[in-house]
Amino acid sequence: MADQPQWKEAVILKPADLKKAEVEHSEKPLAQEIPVEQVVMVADETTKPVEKMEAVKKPSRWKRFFAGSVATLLGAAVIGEIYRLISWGFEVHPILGVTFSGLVGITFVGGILWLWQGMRGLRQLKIAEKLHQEAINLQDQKTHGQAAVLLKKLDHYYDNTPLTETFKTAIRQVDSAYNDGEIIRYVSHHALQAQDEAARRCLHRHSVQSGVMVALSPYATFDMWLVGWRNLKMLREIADIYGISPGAATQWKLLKKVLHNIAFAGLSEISIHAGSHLLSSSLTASLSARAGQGVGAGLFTARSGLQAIKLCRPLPVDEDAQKQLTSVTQSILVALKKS
Amino acid sequence: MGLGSKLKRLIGEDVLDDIQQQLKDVVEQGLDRHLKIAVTGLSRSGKTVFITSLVHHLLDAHQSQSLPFFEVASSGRIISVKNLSETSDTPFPLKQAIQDLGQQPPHWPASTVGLSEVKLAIRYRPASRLQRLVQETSTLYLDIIDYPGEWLLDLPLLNLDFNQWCDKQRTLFATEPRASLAKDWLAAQETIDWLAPADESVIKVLSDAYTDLLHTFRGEAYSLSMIQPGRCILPGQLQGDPLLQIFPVLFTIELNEPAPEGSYYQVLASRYEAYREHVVKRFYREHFSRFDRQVVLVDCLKALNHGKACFEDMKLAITEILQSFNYGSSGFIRRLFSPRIDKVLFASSKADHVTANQHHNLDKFLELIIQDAQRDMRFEGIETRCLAIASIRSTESAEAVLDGQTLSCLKGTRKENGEEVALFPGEIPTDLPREQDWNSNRFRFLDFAPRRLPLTDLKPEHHIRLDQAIEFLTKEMF
Repeated sequence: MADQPQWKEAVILKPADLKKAEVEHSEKPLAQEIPVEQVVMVADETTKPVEKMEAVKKPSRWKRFFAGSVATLLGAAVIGEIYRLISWGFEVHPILGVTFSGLVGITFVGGILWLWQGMRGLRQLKIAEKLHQEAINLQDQKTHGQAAVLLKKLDHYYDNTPLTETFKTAIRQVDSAYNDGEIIRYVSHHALQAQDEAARRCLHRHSVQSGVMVALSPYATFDMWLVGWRNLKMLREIADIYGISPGAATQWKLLKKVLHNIAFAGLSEISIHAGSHLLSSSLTASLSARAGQGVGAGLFTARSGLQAIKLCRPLPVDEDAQKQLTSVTQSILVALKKS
Repeated sequence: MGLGSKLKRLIGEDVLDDIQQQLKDVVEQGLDRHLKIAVTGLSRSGKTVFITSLVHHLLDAHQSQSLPFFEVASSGRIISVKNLSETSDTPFPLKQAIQDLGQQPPHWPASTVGLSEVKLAIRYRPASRLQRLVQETSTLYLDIIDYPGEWLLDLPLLNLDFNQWCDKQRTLFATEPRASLAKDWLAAQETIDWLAPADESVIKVLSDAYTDLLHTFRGEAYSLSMIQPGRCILPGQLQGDPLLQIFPVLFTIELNEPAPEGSYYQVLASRYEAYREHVVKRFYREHFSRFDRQVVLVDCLKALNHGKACFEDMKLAITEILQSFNYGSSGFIRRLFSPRIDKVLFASSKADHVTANQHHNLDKFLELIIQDAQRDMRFEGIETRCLAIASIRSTESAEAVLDGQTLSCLKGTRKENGEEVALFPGEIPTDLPREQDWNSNRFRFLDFAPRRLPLTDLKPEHHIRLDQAIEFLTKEMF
């Protein structure tokens, strides 16, 4: 009975039935007083949060067939080729064969380890994002007891990373009188102090470098590559600073998210960036156009660095983005004037 | 005749004094960054302890990490803090207060009977690189004044003449517990013809009785706050001055023309005017008209312990006092010429006397007391904040299992006898308690003796949210 309709069928009623229904309807209770004890309060209907509408992904069946078959074909070809290579090696000389098989083994094991590391980084990024959201929700709460759960999760998250010691000391120093919001702010500010400082310096260095390089590079086509190269290196370093396992997959995911966040930055962030751009443009008006481009590229790197910090940090950032961007602009200009 | 006295006669003493003071301030503030913080609070609300603890933590801020939420200190940008109080005419007895709190067993510093001043110079490294290019270090001068809370209650008199004051007191004396406590005194007032020529001795008897009454109102049993005039309770240098022999006339008299010269009414009115002019106005002009920031300390637990009358009285007193301050936005130029308070922190002191999970409720209850005052300030565009603080933490948090339920409680030393006690103080109501809830067993707050405050090596556990208080007050100055 799968194709039963969702609606009720139209029915023709007899007039007699109709009358009866009308009579029933008109029998209303008389006005009367009800003892207060007999009354049950009607609970307010709690407004349900509107569920997010998300586009349902419908993977095309043919696409899947195509991808699957291509992967199988390529895989089979590679395996066959490797097999032929090894057997050819053995035919020529056993030592050559052993060398080939050793190389293949090393490649295989290395690849698997690399993949695993990447997967671990991805998982860490995902957890960091979740923790970040939880921390943001708690940040302005004045309740008690909820932050302890989050702290436990954070502690678990940092287990087996170089950060675990400093993190544990910071947690130990949390005062018993703090409410949830204060705990989050305290830990966010004190547990990752060294990391924040290192990340800030890394961001500053790479932004200034890419800014200066773009300003000085003779070929415009080169600029894109320069900025991309510095950006990727910076992302890897920032992820490393915050204890996220590096790997191509992690880096790729991070880059994707950073670009996504920059592209869909909120209005406030846009105004911040516009502000710093205005400031820098008034400063660079006296300089050449290439210097302006340099500042632009540096700011872009700095912005993506800030986004990367936000993504890698499991706790909300309380630093002023505007300050950071202004300081990057200043440094680029100072470096350009020197050269 | 000197130029000064000529000028004085021409424009009047007050104005000239004001101009002189302002010029002095401008010179001082133009050269350096200056901030004057008013610590306001009724008597026994913890002003002295607040100032002592704050100064003590600040003086140690360059080496200890006791103020984690005070950004300039926690990021290690404070180079040193110097105590310049000695340059003031009446330095704050900081050493004595710290000694009181640091000895074994420690005790609370004695309550203030006179006016004193703290001046601090905080040398720090500016945060922004740009500022650091110009100046490697900066200095912020911080002025805090300590004075008896009783004197503060005179400030509302500035806007009232004798007649209006009597009207206000009449409504006040019509409510309990004042009405029944003052029955005899009120009866004595009725027997007097206020327009008849005054007899000094009668006035003295009545004013002595009035002073006794004020002491009773203020005492442990009733803990009322609205005690006017404040110098009757705590005369300071005015001890025995006939100026203090004043009291409101609560007996309604029809005054169609000014009261005859030398009559009871006229004598009291002129004394009131003189008191207002020479005591209150001077106090206000010299110390209270020029502030940038304000802390209002409120002892909510006292109100909860003493019931509705105490609560209502406290609310009235705080609302009236706060009307005497200048509020409004205070930009750079404004701060140079006529500073106005642009940030107010309402702090419920003694947050350590309740369990940590009740701090939020304490905030809410504080809002009930200050809601009228806060509304006026918001209207003026002033940033306000409520914070549950403890300048010195005197309890430790503990847990106890009662009837199978885990309760968070407090462990501390009783103030009266030095015994160690553990207490579940109950929950603080977030709404005004009903008639039957006051004085029931719903909450009970004891007075604790302080825990020892060490001379060095201060830690965040020696206070509650003192760092957030100072961060809120001075944030954008650093």
